[in-house]
Amino acid sequence: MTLLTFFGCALTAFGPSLALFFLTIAKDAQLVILMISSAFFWLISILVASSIWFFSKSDATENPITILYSVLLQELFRWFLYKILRRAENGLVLASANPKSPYNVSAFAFASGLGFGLMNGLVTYINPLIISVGSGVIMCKSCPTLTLFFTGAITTCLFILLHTTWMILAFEGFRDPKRNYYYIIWVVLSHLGASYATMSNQADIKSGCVIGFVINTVLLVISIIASMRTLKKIK
Amino acid sequence: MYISILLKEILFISLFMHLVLSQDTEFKKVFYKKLLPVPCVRILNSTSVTGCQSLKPTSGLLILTETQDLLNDFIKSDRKGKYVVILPYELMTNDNLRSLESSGKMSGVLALINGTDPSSPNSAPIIQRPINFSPDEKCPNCQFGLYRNDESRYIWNPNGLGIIQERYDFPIFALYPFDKASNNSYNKIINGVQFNERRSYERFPLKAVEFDALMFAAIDASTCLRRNFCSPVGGHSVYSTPSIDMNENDGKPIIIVSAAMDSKSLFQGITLGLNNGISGSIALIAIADALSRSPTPVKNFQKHILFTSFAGEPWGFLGSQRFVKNIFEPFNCIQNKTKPTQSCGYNTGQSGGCTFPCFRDLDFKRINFSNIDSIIELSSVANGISLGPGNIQQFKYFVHVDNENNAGNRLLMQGLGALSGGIGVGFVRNASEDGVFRKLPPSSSMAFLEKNINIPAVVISDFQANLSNYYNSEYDDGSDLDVSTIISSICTIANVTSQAIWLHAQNILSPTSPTANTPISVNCTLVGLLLDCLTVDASCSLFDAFRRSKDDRISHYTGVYQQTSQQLLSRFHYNVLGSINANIISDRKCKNETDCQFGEICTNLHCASSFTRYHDSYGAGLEFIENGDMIVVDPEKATWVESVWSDFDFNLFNVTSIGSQVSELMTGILLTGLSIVSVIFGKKYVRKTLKLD
Amino acid sequence: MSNNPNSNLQDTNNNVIETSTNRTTGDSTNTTEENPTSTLGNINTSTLELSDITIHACSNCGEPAQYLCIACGQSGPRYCSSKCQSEDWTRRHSTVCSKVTLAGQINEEGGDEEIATVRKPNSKVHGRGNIAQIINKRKTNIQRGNPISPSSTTDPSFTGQEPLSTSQFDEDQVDEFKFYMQQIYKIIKPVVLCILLSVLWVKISILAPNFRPQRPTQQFIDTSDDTSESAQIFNSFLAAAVIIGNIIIVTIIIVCLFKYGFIKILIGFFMVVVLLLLGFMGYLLILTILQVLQIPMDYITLSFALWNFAAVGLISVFWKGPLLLQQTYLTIMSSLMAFSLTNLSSWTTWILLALLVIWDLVAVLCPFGPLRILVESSRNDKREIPALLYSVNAVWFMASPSLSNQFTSSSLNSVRQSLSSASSFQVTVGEEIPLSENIRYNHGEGGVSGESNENLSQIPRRQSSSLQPRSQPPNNDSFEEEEEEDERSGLKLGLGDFVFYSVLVAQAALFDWITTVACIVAVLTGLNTTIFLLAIYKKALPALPISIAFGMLFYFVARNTLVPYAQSLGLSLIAV
Repeated sequence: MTLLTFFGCALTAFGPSLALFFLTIAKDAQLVILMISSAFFWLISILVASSIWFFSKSDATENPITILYSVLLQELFRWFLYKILRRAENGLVLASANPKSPYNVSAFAFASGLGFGLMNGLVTYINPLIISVGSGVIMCKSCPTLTLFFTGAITTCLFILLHTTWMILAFEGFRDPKRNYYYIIWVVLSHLGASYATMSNQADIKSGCVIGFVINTVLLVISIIASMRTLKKIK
Repeated sequence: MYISILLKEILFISLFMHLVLSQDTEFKKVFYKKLLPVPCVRILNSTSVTGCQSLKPTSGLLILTETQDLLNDFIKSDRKGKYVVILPYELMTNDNLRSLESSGKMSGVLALINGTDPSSPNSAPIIQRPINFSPDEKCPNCQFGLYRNDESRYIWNPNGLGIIQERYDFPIFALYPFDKASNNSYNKIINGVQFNERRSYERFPLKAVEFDALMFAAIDASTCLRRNFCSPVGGHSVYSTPSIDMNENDGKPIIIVSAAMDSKSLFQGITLGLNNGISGSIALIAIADALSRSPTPVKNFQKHILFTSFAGEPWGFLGSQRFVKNIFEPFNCIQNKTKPTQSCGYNTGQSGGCTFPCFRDLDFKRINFSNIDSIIELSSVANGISLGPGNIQQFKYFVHVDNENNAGNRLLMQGLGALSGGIGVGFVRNASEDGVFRKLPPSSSMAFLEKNINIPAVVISDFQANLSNYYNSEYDDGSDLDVSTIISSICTIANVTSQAIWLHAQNILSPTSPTANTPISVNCTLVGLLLDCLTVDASCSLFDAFRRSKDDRISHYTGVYQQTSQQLLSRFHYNVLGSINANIISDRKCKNETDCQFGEICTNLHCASSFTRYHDSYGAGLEFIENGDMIVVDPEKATWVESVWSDFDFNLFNVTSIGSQVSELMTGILLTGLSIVSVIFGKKYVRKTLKLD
Repeated sequence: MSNNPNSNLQDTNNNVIETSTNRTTGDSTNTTEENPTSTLGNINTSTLELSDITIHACSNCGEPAQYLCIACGQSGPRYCSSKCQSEDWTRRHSTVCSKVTLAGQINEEGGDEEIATVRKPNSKVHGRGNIAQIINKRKTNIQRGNPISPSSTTDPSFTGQEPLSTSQFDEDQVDEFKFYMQQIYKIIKPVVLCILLSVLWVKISILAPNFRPQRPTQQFIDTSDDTSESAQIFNSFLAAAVIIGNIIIVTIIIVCLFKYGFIKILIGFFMVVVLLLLGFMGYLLILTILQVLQIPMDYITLSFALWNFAAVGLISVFWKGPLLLQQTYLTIMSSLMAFSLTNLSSWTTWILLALLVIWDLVAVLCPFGPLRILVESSRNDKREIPALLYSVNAVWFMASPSLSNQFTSSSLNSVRQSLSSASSFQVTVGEEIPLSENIRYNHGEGGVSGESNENLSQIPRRQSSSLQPRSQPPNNDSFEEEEEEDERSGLKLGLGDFVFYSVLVAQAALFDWITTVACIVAVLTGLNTTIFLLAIYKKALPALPISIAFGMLFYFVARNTLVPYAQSLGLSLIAV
């Protein structure tokens, strides 16, 4: 009967992002390949972060520091990804389904962001998700009515979408760092903010996880609006 | 039909369950607290299936039913869901288990054998230890014994619940705190129950446990042997004699001193059998030790003394029947390749064995069955002390014989009686002194008597009419007795017996033998050491020579027969008896047995030759065929085989209610559906606002 | 699928045939590799695409071509001189050319809509040539008429470094890129499927219970088997070396057999191998699954089912079967092979993979690599390598993927054809590509040839086949045929690659899900990178090294650091 939890959590965590993937990206070979490449970049960033974590022998009390360098490394690799994509941009745009569309670059950013996010979601959430098939649960510390699986599912869902929008915004910022520097600042700060907000999940705060969800949702909404604005600006 | 089963549940649920639950990732341990599993396992013979089975992992909420009333309430209640019922061992009757099974609310049973409330360590035990408790049959092993064809068999074990012979298709595990790990498991479970009770089984999360105890064997012994899903119950008996040059044709009579080395109960992991198994074998070793200190070496007496410690006796006298069969029937070696082969792993060239039938050595042929003079068997002897009138400790042991009119039997009975202080007044009495003649209790001697009913054979025990009160039960752990009482009980009877044997071996045992004439006596310190070693702390020096892993207590459950590797208990007896009966001590140094040649024992770091051998022990109804497979040859005889299993799993965890699980699923479906819709509309919106069309 | 450049417009086929038959040097890439000097013959192209142009042969006489038909552009025939062109025009091009231009006009009128439909998998009519043409024309228009392209206004990078000077350049690049994108996408699907199957087998087999009973009562003496770590590694090394040795020996035997023309022995041998693989490994796997899921089944049912399974597999692989079935069987076979390799100790597996990478590099890139010799001989003899057989062989002998460098379906098809008639052997195996190239550079020739990587031997077959459908209007049947043909050609990846990718991921799956996911991403990225390198270097490349290197690196780092890191954060419910 715990398959209920499994499917519930799987759909919560990955449903929205997979819907995005299958309805927008999956048809386009180019975007799928981009997605895999960006997933690869995210993986490198997290491997570096985890190596630092491993060799510094951090424990739970040092989580704030862990978050700091993990986030910064991700942003760094986002920038690397941008640099590499920019080199290939010419070819990519030409080879895209609609080479004259001005939104190709945004589409690349979207696909890369989804790749970043999905990989993030998979790596951080796949083990809890698989374990949720079993009957055993642990309750979330700050919200004793929710299981750790479900809280994690919501966080994962939000983070995948956040990563997607961050990528769009960051590409916009990287493209013209002098004029659009505030995009980069927003991406880094909101990423840090979102990560720190998740610390409330297991903190001794009453309904702490709700606080985390709300902060992340607000950040997500702002980011979506901002990225829509960038799209409109392109025109 | 298979397909429907396959599609319906197995493929989906159990695959997923298995995928998750079998791979032990670090992450999983946070969710599932591993507990020490003490399972009941599946045993089969040629006609029936006994023991427990859980075809797939099952789990349920913990619930404790301390009394029969609470149990009845639970069975009648309209609770939803599955429960793991913690049942005091006393309530584990077949009726209770069957009604639990048919209630549909039970997914497994935890037998609460002893233990106190973990929150207050000094409190009284949660359940009282019953005065009599035996999971075994009312007449154990009678269908394999000497009197199997008798019309009215004496009921030796009237307290027997018979659950050991029943088949349960659900898991039963035991709760029995005796060391650190089991205490830890026990505390977690009891705390879990209390947690559930505090939340009145309504406010989730609640504590649940999960069992995984898949048994592979099915149908019957011959089927599972063919499928290779079971192994024969048994092990290796040990025989040893100080007469190093004993030989088939020397014509010297043989006195056999015998005991059973192991025991059984429902839960093999916690089987101790202090009275049933250990006490007799300690007495046997103590007697051998006493005789080895005889002024005249025992090997020079008119009679040989042969010590036999049989393995697998609780399972239809596996050890004694196999031993008698081999020494009684003429042996014919069909094939001898001298090198280890697929079907026979012994280096038979070195030890003079035979490849088919597979024997490491043929030294058992040196024992001539027709030379057997008498048999003295030590049954349970730990509880020979009782409080008589005026709180004075009274020793009382009983001698059981098959035929009181047999002259040899009479001599042994009277001799033992006389040595203990007088026939009929000493502490060794005739078992039929109350006027009821019960013949032999279940014992190894039956195997010998089957071949020759006239061999004098006495069974010495601390019981008269009924087998000991915890016969083949987990309670037979000595915790109801004082250690010093046990030691003195064993020591006393061993002393008398050793003197009787010493006299008898010289043909000077008489109904009037005075005690003072015998210069030998048993070393009670050795008895204490052996008792400590076998029941409490197995890290004693006696195990040093052959044991690597150290744990506090070893199980005395009969294991399974494996051709070339002997179990710990067999090795223990082999080394101890071998050292005692060692003859010529060489200069060659050794650390353990492997440093010495065949036929030698490593004693005091030197190799010493000793006529001490292992002898195979497995069901008399089972035989090996030439390719090394085992088949059932006689379904009437003991054909016990034990199922093969995968690793047991026993976990404690929290569960949530079905309601919250459904709401999680609904959230997921809604969220996904919502996002699919919003992506479709979002795409349209983006196209419109950005004028992509 | 429609975007697959190989799908030719029916009308252009004629040109293709004509052009190709007149070629003297055979396959275009072969030319490049064998006659690098011939590139010098090209004058009017930038150095970047020298190799592209060199391959064009005059449609009329077969000499190196320098001129195009203006109406047809890049997609049309090439000529060495105006004389040849006029000759050709009168002979047949006039009829074809008008059709091509007509089609182009229609497409242009359709505008964006048409381009959009091109992406849809079922619209088979729009071949690669047409797209190129359309794009080409559009670009020219834009650049001539309205130099401010939308992207160039917002994005400096579009106009920045590489100005789009000539339309031919764009077209080739675009075509190639699209082609590779599609090919990667197509190849990723079976690779992912095969990897996932292997992971599934592994996850099941982890559960396959240990049949040795664990009894608390039996404390046997541990027969000391604790050999030192170094000895273990040495043993693993030895085991891996033995396997590699087998691979090398088998490769050499096969090369010899092929060189001396014992094709039938090879085919027969491979049939036995396929049967054994499907039967025996299938049996082991089914046994495991039955045990894990505790499904009761009798041997009669099992053997009946297995026999049918293996027989259908054999027939569909070697003779005739729906493409989907063939692909399914090959994927299952690869995953079965990978599954069987998971029985090796983990150290052996890692060492084996590392050695394979080296062997792959040597066999494909070294001038005296056995596979290279094999290819040379096939090229010289104009004889097709029974490549599918190689694939299978590679699978069975755990051979280097370089042995088996045919992507499943196409190779099957070819073998089927080659088996069906010995006389037409050379004729029908056309869709094969030489063995030594794991992922073969599929050269984009603009519109000249949709299936540009086809060998010379293929052309007669095409000619004969093209006679029938073209005479009638394209109906559904011919669409389907076309589709299947499209799928059967294209980029090829060896079965061996499937196997070893899966082995790597399966090994990762033995540890944890995170390592599994990391290795899948690493392998796929490695595959993408290899294909892109292929596009850049236009040279046969071994498919294993990059993927395996990424995979191994990721596995060990992820295993030691990422898994505990993810656990620590996961339990604190922190997302980063």
